[in-house]
Amino acid sequence: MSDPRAAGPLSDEELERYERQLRLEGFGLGAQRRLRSSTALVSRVGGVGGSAAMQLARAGIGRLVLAHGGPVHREYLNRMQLAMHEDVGRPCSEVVAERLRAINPHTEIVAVGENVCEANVAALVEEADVIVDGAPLFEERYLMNAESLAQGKPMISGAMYATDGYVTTFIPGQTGCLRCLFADRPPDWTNIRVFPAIGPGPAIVGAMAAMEAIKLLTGFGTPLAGRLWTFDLADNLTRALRIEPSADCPVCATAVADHPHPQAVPHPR
Amino acid sequence: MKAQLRPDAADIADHGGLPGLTPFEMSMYARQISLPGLGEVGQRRLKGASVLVSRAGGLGGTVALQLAKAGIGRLVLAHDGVVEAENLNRMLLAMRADLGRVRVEAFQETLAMVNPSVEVVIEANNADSANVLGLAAGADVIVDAAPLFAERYALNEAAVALRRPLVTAAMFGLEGYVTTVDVPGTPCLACIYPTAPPDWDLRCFPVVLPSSALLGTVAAMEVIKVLTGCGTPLHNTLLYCDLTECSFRRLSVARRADCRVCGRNV
Repeated sequence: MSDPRAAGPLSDEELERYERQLRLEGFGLGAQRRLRSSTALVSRVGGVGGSAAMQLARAGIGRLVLAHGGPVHREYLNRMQLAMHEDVGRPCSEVVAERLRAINPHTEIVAVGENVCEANVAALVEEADVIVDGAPLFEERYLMNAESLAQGKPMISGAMYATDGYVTTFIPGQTGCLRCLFADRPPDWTNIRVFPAIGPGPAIVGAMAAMEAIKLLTGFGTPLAGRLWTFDLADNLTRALRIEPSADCPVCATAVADHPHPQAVPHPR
Repeated sequence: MKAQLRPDAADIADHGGLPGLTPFEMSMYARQISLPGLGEVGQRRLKGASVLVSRAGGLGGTVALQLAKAGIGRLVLAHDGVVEAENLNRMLLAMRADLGRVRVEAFQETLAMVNPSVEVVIEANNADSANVLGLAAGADVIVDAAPLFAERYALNEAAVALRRPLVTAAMFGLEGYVTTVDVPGTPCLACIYPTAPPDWDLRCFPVVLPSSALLGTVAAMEVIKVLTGCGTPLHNTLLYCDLTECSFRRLSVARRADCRVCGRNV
């Protein structure tokens, strides 16, 4: 939170732009300035991550680091909110960066044209105050999870399949981690090139993930820490499942013991 | 497309009047055509459908964007005014360069980029009792994303009179609700709210984008369900949420025999 922009007052344009959210009870100028001084790493900017990134830019986050490799394919158009018809073939990260700049020039956009991988994960997480995990592959998600614990930074995970989706927030030292929830990659989570998807599925997951990021960065509201929120758009059934840290988790049980964080509290029993 | 996910031949024959899909559309909508219950016929139903969205701001703009992405055939957008700076935190169809422009013109331009095959008809006024029947003519579904009860009641009355489904959504701060009206199978908005709540003056309601986007997304999915037959719409159920704590509730809602709008249509 050493960003110099945090210190200055909001400009007239910013005050006007954020007027409606500044009216929210419990939000206010302090929260808006905390948001402006924050950086989120968004991993993949397709259906889930692209929707979360757009909401964070509209809400006035200071900086977004977007990691996504590869171009816009035709079949992304039904759910990638910021990709237009003419963008087919262009790199996803560039397309999203361009749209976000057109939405809110007060948000600095760093477009990284590759997915999170072993080589880049530490540096990418280093940049951020919060991680938004909208990646479809468990390999990427586990890498971010381990790095989130190593650097003591919270991670919001969102995923969807067909009309189902879920979101939860992992806070090192306070909640379990992605490995506690999924000790191994679910065996049926294999070919991401064919999963059924319609726009509202990832959009709702991305909206909830963005809300979580806003809560963590501003202190407003109650985040989904230790709760897994699930939603099925087919019948609009929602659940908030309590999730517990796993005492023998190979990742967080050790990481938290090795790197206790100032805010760390004992795992709830 | 796997064989078992395709609608059966009889269903296709029954809907022979629906528009066909181009090879580009087949690839653009591949992932949703494989959605259980939607299929190629569902996609063609979307392409053949027209939806009136009244107010296309935080809620309605999300509905319009999602429906355009999903391949709806025609959208009618009714919304007055010009784009102001305070709109930009939630109106998904407005960009910074649109400041000062007529809202519906900016929205129309964004939607043309999102999906040029969608026909977008615009009306630079909000819905009211005088214009609503004209706006709703030809609409297969009406979406009420208007903040004021006078507009919402006008849309509800048109939906009941024309026997069209109405997806109605509203929000305040981080609270909001969605329900799907389809009289006589469900209550109408006037059954649920016989009179406008006295504290409901939403000209300056607080809002942060994820709440309007989330509710608008639920509303868009309701439209898709009603049009294609996939899933279970929010009939007789009002989905209420408060994102402050991520709490969701499903409230049962019922018809009023003496409803001033739908009571005589039993």
